[in-house]
Amino acid sequence: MNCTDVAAVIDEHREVRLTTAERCALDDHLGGCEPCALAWRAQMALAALPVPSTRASLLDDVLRAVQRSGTTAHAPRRAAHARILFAGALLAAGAALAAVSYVAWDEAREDNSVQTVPAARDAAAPDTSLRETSRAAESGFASAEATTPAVPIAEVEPFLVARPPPKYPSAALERRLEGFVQVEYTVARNGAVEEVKVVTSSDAVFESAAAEAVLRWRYLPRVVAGERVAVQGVQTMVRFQLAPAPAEGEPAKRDPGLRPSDGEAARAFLAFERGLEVAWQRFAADDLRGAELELDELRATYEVASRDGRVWSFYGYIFTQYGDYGRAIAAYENALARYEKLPGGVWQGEQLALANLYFARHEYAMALKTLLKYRVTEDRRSLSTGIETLIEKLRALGVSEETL
Amino acid sequence: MNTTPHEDFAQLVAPHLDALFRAAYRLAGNRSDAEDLVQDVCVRAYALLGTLKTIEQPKRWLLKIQYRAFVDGVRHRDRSPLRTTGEDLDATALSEEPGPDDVAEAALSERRILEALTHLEKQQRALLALQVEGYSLAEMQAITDLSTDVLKARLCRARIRLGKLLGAERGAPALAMEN
Repeated sequence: MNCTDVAAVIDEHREVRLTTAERCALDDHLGGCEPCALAWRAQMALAALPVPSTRASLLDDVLRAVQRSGTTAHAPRRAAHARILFAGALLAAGAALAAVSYVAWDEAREDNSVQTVPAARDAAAPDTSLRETSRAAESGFASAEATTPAVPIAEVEPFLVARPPPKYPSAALERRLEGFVQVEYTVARNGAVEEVKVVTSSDAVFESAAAEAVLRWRYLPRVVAGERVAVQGVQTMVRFQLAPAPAEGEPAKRDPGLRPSDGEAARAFLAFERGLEVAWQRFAADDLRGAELELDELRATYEVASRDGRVWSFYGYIFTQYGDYGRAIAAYENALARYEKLPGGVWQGEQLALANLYFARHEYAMALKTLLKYRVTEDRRSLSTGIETLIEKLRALGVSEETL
Repeated sequence: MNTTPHEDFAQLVAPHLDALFRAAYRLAGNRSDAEDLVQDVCVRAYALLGTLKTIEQPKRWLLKIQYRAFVDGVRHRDRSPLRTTGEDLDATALSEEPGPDDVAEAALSERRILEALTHLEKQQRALLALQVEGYSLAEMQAITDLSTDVLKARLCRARIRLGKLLGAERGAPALAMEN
């Protein structure tokens, strides 16, 4: 018996089922291996630790605690204060870097000059219902009436759900050098980033840090004709900027979008981010329900999760895929309400997704109001095509800014 | 007849309270903090009653919430579950007509183990708690989101560390040898 065998005996709960020969071999090994002897002793001590029986009245106490908490079943817990955290905008580099602590970059700018190429349809798994409904979406909107059932959504813009910041290259830090890297990559069908290329950069020193960071970004992929497709030629500018050193005696300024730097909240935020990654992994493995449950758990565990727009965008995307448009609308409304509070507004396409949902439910005025409320800025050109198309469709139905 | 959300919740959670409490006791080391932790987990779960109703493995889901609440130290209440005092020790399981000396000796070793546990990392403590409660590696993987290899390695390290701590406790002084 060796160390691995001893650990397996414990891990698999086989301590009390050993044969005499196995027990002798175990004792022999424990006699000559200190780490295993320590582990064994610890396990025996833990097993011997008495656990009192559960009080019969614990259930009543639990129900009273639920009542006292004022928590509502089904409804998410609302946070008392409105600090929003988002991976975009500005993020802190390592805290140990003291005054030079900001890494910032532009909102992802997707270059639509490279048009989306729908992935080859998988003949083995045809989804006829979605394809047919997509045809209905293409041809049927002009005659649709408010009382008809919703037209299934067949096109969804991609969303970034996780954008871990790049490391600030130490060589650049030493020189207090700022810069940018323009990268181009493919967002795969499962939402992972692949084939990252540097298009241009201000200094080669930033290139590998930018490329490495982008490879860890996680998307919910674009949907075309009801199917997830890869998007090639996505371009993004990653900027590296140093924070101005604070004046003497003055605390370093903090951006409202920064992740918390104090102990417990920072740990919780990191754990929440890891959970978001797990939710994305489930999504990428085509386990939508698993991803949804993971998001539920994150909200149950971390208050920050309910305040983070990405969580609600993720829900909105999943519910849209389910065809549950009522919940998808509520989720995107939540996401936008949270993004709206951030400087500059950092929505990535939620307004178009939401407007499309309203459109699908024949709520045309709401569709237009959504588009007008969350206007697109210059650097998000990729969205404007979709928005223009939808505005045209609405105009054809007699819904325009003037008629609102 | 329609049931209220409270009744639904009670029905769904009741079968798993014992498992939750046992794991919580191993995390918290005393009854009162363990019950606090269970209540905290249930308040979180109640907010997601819709999920709880549809989920296939409610016990695992509740344990996962409890594991995270403990390991990440994000709690809705103020009390720390890491409090070990002699007064809190509950010796109800020691019931074979022990004499006063036996009770004292058992309580002492129990206190020693609980004290050693407080020196472990929270995750190490949580993993050991689940393992000794009889959960399989596959179940623990679902609860903790750790891969089997990582789980095995962390369990092994946690046990060795606890073994050292117990040895140091026995031979006092010095917890220094643990490193």
